[in-house]
Amino acid sequence: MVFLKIAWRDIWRYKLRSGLTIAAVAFATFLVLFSATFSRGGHEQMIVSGIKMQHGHLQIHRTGHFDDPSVDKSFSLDPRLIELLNTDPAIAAWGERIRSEGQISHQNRTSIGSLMGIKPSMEIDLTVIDDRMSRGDFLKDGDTISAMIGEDMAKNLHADIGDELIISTMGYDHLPADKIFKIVGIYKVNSPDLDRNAVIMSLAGIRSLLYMPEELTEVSVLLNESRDLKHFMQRLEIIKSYGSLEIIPWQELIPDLVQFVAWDAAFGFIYLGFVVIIVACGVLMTILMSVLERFKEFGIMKALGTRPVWIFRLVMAESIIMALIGAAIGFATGLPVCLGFVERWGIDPASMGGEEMVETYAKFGIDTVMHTKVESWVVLATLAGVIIITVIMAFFPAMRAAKTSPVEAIRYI
Amino acid sequence: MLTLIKISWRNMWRNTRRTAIIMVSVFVGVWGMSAAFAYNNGFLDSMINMAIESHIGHIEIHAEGYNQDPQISLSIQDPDKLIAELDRVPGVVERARRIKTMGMLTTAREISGTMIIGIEPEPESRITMIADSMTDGEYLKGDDMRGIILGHELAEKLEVEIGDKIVLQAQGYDNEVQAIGLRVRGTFRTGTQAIDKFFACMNLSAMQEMLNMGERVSEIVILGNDAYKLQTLKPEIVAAAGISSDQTLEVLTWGEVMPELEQWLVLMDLGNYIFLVIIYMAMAFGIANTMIMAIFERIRELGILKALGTKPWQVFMLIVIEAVMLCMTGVALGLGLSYLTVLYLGHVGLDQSFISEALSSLGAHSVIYPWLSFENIWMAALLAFLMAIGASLYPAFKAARLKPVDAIRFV
Repeated sequence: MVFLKIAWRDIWRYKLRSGLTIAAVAFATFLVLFSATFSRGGHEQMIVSGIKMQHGHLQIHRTGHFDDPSVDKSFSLDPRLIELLNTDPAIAAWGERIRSEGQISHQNRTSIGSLMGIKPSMEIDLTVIDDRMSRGDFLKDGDTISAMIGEDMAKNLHADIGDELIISTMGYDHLPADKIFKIVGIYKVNSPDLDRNAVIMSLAGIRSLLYMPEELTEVSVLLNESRDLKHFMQRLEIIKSYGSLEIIPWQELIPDLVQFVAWDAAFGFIYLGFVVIIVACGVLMTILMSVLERFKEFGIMKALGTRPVWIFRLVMAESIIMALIGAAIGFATGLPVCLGFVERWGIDPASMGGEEMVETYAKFGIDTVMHTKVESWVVLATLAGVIIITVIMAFFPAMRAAKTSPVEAIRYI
Repeated sequence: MLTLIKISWRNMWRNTRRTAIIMVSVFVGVWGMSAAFAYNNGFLDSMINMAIESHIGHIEIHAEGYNQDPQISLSIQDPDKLIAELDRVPGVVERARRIKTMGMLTTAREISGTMIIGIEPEPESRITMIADSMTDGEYLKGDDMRGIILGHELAEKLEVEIGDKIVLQAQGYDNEVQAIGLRVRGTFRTGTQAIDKFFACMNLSAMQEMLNMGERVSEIVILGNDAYKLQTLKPEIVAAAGISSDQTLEVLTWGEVMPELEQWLVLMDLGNYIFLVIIYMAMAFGIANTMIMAIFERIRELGILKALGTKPWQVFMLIVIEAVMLCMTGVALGLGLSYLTVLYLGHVGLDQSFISEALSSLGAHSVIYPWLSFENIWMAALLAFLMAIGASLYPAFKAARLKPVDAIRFV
């Protein structure tokens, strides 16, 4: 254990070298932490905004409805299910819905789109639509004649608040269905599906249009935390005994979002790899230079009988200790920054790019302010990664040190 | 000054190991970043080509205002004269008429909205890839008045097979809703979700008749020789449109029909720039470290140099020049490898079929051909240059202010 003492003293003897190495490790830790949390934050944001548009974390359908949507595949809400949905702590909000598709016309303009019947009081906490009303008001429970459409559809139909829409579709039992609705609200959520191709009315309204009984085609659930999804779905399995129901998680509802996030994650990983390589070079350099400089010292030690493997251990110990110190500093500076960005500020790159950028982002439904997401496994992984890389980088210099020739060292003095 | 450069260069190579390590880090950083930008360029190309080949063509002509407000009432009144004029323009390789509107397709059990397009099967097959993308059944034949082909996802949704009957409802030119029974002849897969899930094609004349449009059409789509060289073709077409018609027509290139395509590149590049900053910061750190070590190693030598009369600014420049040369050599190697990588991948293509669903919802191919623009290259080099200067400023400054006596005596 003597070598640990020597290692520690060596670190303080060569203040500059150690300082540089520790700084390199600290910087690496900071960068990796920053990039990783940013990346995770970005993905979380993408997922949450995608989910909060309309789908929710998961949905409950009648078995067979998801693969082949039809108004006839509806189900009634078992009171036990209602109880479960109202009391489970993981749930942030849930909503009853009926979905169909049809033709929408205003005066002599027609469009087609999905028809979504909702219970407004439940939807307020479930989706972001009520926060993104650009004109008019959100729907109210029980209103059978009002509807909301998106900005793009309003533009296509040349319709505005107060105008009438004729909706025609195929109702329950394949009966043709037509009804007139009045526009009370226009929204813009930045999802083309909703803004351009959807009409939203109350459950009462769509039931009267479709001649539907007191049933639903879907129940949408929003959780408090995305990570509760798996456990929640397990708890929810019991509802399958209440009737032929199936539970569909968001990954199946919005598969391209999943792939998109995976794509972005893959890229993030690759970038991180590059950052790591670059900083690893820096760490290698400082340790190697320090070792080469000390060849006299190592030479004398060997001349005095120190075995090569002990010198190897000595250099490795020095490197690991410096790595730990560097990582500590990296976290000490990095964590507050990342945590600060999580809650409060966030980076707004779009505004750095100017007015046009902000518009572009808005078009794609992306929130311009980027936050980080600090998760404990990310922090631990960063720590482990930094230590492992330093160890790997120290390997070669340590070997070199162990092979120092005592004869040459003595000759130099 | 030249002497300073010579000395710096030699200094750089005095400690080959250290120089090599830092050059590797710069090399990796530059290669990584240029690869990222090359990927983005290839991706955008893919999206553009996809859009052009699957529907948009190079140039579209409409009644004025149609692109913003696609209504059946906004149609080209007299397309035949226009077509005759267009055929005289040498740059026009192919041209086809189309009618487009939103409608509803219904079967006995299913219903779906659709974008129905009346096409001239022959010329259309030479402009878009739909004829070559049939997954089932056959493309429309020129004289088939009752046939319809659908995007494969649309066909799946409607649960139709080849030969099934399907009813199309749409609002006609006279504002009356019209319906027509059609038979499914085939399904196509373009790879763009928006099209495969939504588009259906039928015969142009049949659609004109159904919607009471007479000879009118919604648009004329044109294929030129080169999607990126439309600057001469477009004015010629505008002129032809002017001569042949009293109606005010709009002539739009693909970039004007879908401005979103360009905006996508902006978005993707932004993500890259953020990482560029991070990676260059990592490199800067390495360079700063190197220069600090280099100075301390040679501190006695620097002291002697100053004692012999070297001016502080010259010592400053020695350090900065060494840092810059170190960096730029790495950059040159990095860009060199990037160029080769991109040359290879640009030829062979980069296969991303594992995320094909995400790509198709964005409208990009699975195989991407990356390429580097001149701007990408000199931007990477310029930023590296500035970064090297920035990183070495502090160490160089300290070196310049060394007191000769203390430096010589440094142990």
